[in-house]
Amino acid sequence: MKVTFRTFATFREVTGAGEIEMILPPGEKIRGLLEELCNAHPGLRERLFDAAGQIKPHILILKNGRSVASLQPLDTVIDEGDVIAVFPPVAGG
Amino acid sequence: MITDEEQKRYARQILLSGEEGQERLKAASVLVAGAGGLGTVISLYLAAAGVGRLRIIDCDIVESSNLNRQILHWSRDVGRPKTASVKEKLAALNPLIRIEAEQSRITEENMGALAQGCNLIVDAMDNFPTRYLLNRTAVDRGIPFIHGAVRGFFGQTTTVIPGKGPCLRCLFPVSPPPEVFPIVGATCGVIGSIEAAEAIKLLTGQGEPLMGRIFIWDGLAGNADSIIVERNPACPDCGNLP
Ligand SMILES: [Zn+2]
Repeated sequence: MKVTFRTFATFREVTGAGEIEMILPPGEKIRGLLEELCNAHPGLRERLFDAAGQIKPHILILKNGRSVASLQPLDTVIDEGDVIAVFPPVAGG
Repeated sequence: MITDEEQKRYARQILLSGEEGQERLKAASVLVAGAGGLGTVISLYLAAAGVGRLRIIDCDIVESSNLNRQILHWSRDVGRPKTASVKEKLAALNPLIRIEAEQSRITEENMGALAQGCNLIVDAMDNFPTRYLLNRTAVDRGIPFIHGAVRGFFGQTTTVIPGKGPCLRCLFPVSPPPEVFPIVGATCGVIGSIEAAEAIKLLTGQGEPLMGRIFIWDGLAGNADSIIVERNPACPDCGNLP
């Protein structure tokens, strides 16, 4: 199935593009999508995950523009045509 | 009532929102939390626009490393309190408004007194713990809160209207890790200007506020995006509102 991945700010610097088209097996979860991206883009893994392999808690994961407000965002199943976005908020002033 | 002097000064805004809009700005009291990279931009535009009472809070002293971005602080201000520096510049820009600049650190204890009488809180802080305090105060008082943050060439902003859209805690339940953040002044200019425009829109009742959306600025890519976000029914700060 075809899925679009979007990212912003410092993550975009690592992936090289703000929007990436991907072909994933049906029923794939957000975990699998991010795993594939981390393998393809060195430097993304340490930005996304902490030492225990958990997604860093301040990072927002969005499915079709809406926040995946789940305790286990990585287990969210992706559907054909979904746009999955990862947004690292900034904190300076 | 708008005076003849105000008629002239704000003529280009009166073209947009009428005398009624200008009167609303004049009657408004806005709390600007911070007088740094974002706060100097926000307070400059709000003072120029004729917001009747600006209350600006900051605890810091101007350092030379601030001067690349904090546009109301100049070389001669190094060593002065930021509040004294902004008050002087803003009073010279617009003597028709009231500027209350208070040198203090925003805490749980003084937050209520600082927000007393304000219609709107604008975020110009550099850390999330204080932003959460501003957010909760705005939610408790039912007044809007405009959030902005920057790093490098990147920034984000959103407008919280308590009970109607998500609050800051709904969107960002966990603070990004603290750091000495890299920054160019132009990024503060972009995000601070959007925050000021949001404030003017809300106060004059124009346009669509950035409610339920996070505006994301990527200055490196030359790109702006917005993402749709929703309230968290279990939010510890606003979950109790209808
Ligand atoms: Zn909330």
